[in-house]
Amino acid sequence: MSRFWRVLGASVLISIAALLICPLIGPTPLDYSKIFTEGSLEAQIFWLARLPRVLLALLAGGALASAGVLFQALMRDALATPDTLGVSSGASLGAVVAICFGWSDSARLGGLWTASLLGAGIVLMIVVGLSSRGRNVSSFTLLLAGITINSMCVAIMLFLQSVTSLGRSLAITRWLMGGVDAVEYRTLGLLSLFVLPATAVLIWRSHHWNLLAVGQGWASAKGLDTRSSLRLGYAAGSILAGSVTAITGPIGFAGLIVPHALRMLIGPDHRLLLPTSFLLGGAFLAVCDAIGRTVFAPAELPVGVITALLGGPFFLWVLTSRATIKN
Amino acid sequence: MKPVYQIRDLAVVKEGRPLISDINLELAAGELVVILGPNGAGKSTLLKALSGIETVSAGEVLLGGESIAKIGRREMARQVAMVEPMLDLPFGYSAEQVVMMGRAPHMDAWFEGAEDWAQVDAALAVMDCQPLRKRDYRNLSSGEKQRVLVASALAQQPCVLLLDESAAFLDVKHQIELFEALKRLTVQGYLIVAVTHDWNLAAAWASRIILLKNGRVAAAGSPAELSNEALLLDVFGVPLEVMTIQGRPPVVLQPGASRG
Repeated sequence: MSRFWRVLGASVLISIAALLICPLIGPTPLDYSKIFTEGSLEAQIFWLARLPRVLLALLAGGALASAGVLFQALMRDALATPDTLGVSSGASLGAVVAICFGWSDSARLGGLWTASLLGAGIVLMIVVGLSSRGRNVSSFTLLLAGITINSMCVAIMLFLQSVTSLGRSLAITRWLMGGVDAVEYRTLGLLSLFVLPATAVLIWRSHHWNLLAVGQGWASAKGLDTRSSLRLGYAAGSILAGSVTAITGPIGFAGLIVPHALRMLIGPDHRLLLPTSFLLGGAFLAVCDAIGRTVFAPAELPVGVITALLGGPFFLWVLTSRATIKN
Repeated sequence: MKPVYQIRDLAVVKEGRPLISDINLELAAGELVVILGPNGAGKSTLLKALSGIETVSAGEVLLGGESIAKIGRREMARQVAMVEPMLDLPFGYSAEQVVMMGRAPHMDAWFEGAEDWAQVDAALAVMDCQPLRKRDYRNLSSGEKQRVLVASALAQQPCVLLLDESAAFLDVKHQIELFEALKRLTVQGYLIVAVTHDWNLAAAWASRIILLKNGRVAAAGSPAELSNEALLLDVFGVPLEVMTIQGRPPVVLQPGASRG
């Protein structure tokens, strides 16, 4: 019990540190003495550009890491994440369809969000359908299915992009680059209305993910109504991946590194793994974004580029180290 | 003794093929029942039907007088614990955490309470697993894993323990230790139903053997009552020689016999 609070407390401190320090980092150096001066340039940069951006990174990174932990438990595979399973592509496709047909212009974000959530949900249903076909679908089958769904979604997105108007095509390109641009506080509030309850439900149901991570037969032998737990998990996972992708665009591998590293450090108990992944996944993305806007300053790298460059090799490392264990 | 299980005209049909049919049995507390039979005889299906995981096609299974179809999963898990043959974990749960998962049907709070820890300690002690408790389950030997799984089942505080091929991966010493532990549990009033391929284990420890053939009960009775070479030839399709050693009837395998 005391270890639980120690680890959780440390995670809270790290993400608060990220929240306080990351807004200061960027092409224009800031410090806290100037940002409270009404109307100054520093105050504007801090409150309108940097802080919302860091808050978005914390929320998005946390949501993607939580979704990663959840999918890894439900698929019993440490390499399952919203993007390796194709769920993020589904959300992207939904968003691109929304941009293409102008649904995102008319009702502000409503159309984009709905389409994104639907896309994530539909792909997840397809993956779940595939994985429940056989009793033991290997992780390679799942990952191949994810790659296939990815390619199909990309193909449809390219098709839509080539037939739509130039203006919308540009909007799609911009959106597909994936990044945590400064957003209005209203959008942040809306996103937290999706992300925070979904994460809270996941943490509350941690026991279920522990049992399901061992196996569905096991969970049901230990008295769990696996059907309703899985349904809850899939719904929460789609909401997390879909709502974040609607705002940030695709951010590759964000749900992979943090959950995996944490599982090695603190163990696989989801009561601790989920909240720490949410906190540190957010801090991780905020730091990646801070790196992205400084290394080539004044040019900015989208945060998706950083996470993919870090996450890709990490993914391959996990894949190969696991292959050697099995042989 | 009052029967724990009453099985009446039980049948399980999958894809139009009956896996088990016409099963009528009563199983009482304190029994160590071993289900034997050739591959595909329906042993595991019968066990799953008892655990409530398998959907029953016809007939009924009563647990304590109540149809198990009407008992919820959580309540079921408080009464009946199933030990899977060999369980591999994708993540590094410790042996203690695996055993603690057995508390799931009793736990309502988010953190485990004193009672949960007491039951986990007791279950670990019964299966002689205390030295393993902090170790990563994935790094345990097959025998140690099996003992941890039984401990996890015991932590459920059930009155029935169902074991599917639990001895198959164990060496001789651990097979003996497992069945000795099971025997002690029956003395405490547990009903234990174990599926195995090993006649000799059954002959040594079972209070009753149920022989299945083609999904039906071919014979049921004490090891001595079933030690009939003609019956065993009929069920298993190979001649087996029954001997009697220290009052127990083990069988001797005969090389080349399956061709005859």
